[in-house]
Amino acid sequence: MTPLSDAAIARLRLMDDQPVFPGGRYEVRGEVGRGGMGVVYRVFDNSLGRDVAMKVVAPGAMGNDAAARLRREAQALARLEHPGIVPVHDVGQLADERVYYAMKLVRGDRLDERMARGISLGEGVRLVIRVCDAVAFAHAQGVIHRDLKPQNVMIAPFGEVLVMDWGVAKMRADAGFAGNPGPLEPRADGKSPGGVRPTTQDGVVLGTPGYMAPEQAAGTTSAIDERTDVFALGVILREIATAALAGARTPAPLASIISKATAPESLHRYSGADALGRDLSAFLDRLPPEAHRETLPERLTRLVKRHRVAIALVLAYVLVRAVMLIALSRE
Amino acid sequence: MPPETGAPFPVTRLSIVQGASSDDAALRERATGEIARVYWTPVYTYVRVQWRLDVEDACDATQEFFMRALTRDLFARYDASKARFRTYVRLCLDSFMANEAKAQRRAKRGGNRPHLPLHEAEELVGQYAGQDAVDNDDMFDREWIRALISSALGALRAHCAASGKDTPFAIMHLYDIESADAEVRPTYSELAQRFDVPVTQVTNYLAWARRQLRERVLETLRAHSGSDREFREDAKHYLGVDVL
Repeated sequence: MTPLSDAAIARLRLMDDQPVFPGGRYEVRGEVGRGGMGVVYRVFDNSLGRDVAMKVVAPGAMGNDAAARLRREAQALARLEHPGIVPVHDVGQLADERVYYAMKLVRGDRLDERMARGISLGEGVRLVIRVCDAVAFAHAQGVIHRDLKPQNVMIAPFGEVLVMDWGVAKMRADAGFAGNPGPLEPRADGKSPGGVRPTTQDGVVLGTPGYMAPEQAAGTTSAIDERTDVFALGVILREIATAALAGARTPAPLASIISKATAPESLHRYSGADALGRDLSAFLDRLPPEAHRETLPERLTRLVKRHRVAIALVLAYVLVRAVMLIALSRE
Repeated sequence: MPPETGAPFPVTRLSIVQGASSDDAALRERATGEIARVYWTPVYTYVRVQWRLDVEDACDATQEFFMRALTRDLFARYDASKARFRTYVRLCLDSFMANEAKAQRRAKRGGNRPHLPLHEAEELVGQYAGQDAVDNDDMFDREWIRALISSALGALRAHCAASGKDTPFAIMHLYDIESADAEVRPTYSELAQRFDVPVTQVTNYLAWARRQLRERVLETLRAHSGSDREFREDAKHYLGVDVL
């Protein structure tokens, strides 16, 4: 007999994690990543002959609300049909009652990986604008992500930007989700004053430290709304600016945008990701962002930069005319 | 390979490690024998690699170590509050090796050493060839978990053979173990064809065999843990399982 190889030991040690899908449609090909609640596998879909990503409740997370959360996440994603949000193909349950859902397998870089390799400010801002588009769409559908961070943004090889991991997303009660299992831990009144029916009680903190808005870090679930995601987007922007500028001063308009997005009081932030996206587009187009009150020199500098070609042409024209006039006057 | 120890030791909560310090001499002997069965390969591999003994000397040293453990009730002196059981075994082994002169081992070598098929253990020794420095704890732990899973796999193989469930075991063995080093695993369809069962049955068999193996690995781990806490921590660390 041959002793068990290291590869076999590694496989057997985590064997229980590896889901066996009923019916033989999906076969596990490898692990993509894992979090506290779920594990994502690369899985081959025998029916359609392609690789898909399969998110499965982690065995260690069984026995709590992980299954309901994953099912809810799948339902939320299925509703969010947007180029910036990963599409869901299937949802089901393993023989051991773990819930899974299949989604598009996104290949490419995570935003944090792209930032680590070096990113320009323009590219970084353009990526955040794309994220804002997807998040604004989700907001319009009544879904708040609650865990936006560079690790949850994928950049595919052809430039598609996808927002991933909606596992702790919060859904507004008025969002009208078909088959919504409802709150997992319902409050006594079942509804907050803002019309948001929380799935998590106040006091429960979900999200990633460093990206959480103050109201989220405090566990004030009822205070979480679109502006909570805006805060996280502001933090991402700040990180991009830091990575791109390597110690140089952040342009004042962008600094104002970041400052407004990450305001401690949610009332002082942008009302949603769409407003933040608009201001970022204005910044890229050298237009005055809503968040920034320009000084006169800043305005002049911006106008010169924005219209530098036209100004250069006019100056060249004036210069030529001046030279011609001088030449004529000497004759 | 370790020596056979006769009837399987009754696996109960912490039975083997506790059994090694029992007042009942027969139980103590059987528990020590069971410990030797699981630890034989890690101990042999360890003395071959870390103490750089040749095959003959390593085999003698391993045998003698377990004999010493039995005659001097070495494992009965284990204190769960001070270290993990496998750490205690390794420290005892290091102490034994440091005190034991190579010449003495040679003098004792004779016809009473049981014949042991060493090629399995030698394959493991071979994987450390060319490595400059191997951490003592890392190496012993690595071989210990390999021995533990191998022991559980052997128990499952025996169970499946006795209960007419060779096919689920064979499917799991082929899919999870034999193909572990291959670039491509066999597909469910290939397995179904090979074992002449429907594809849906392949997934059922695979899930069943994995569950059974997991249970046996946990049983073996529990039996060879020095304390409940050690068992829980190892189950989490090595198997990713939260034991209630």
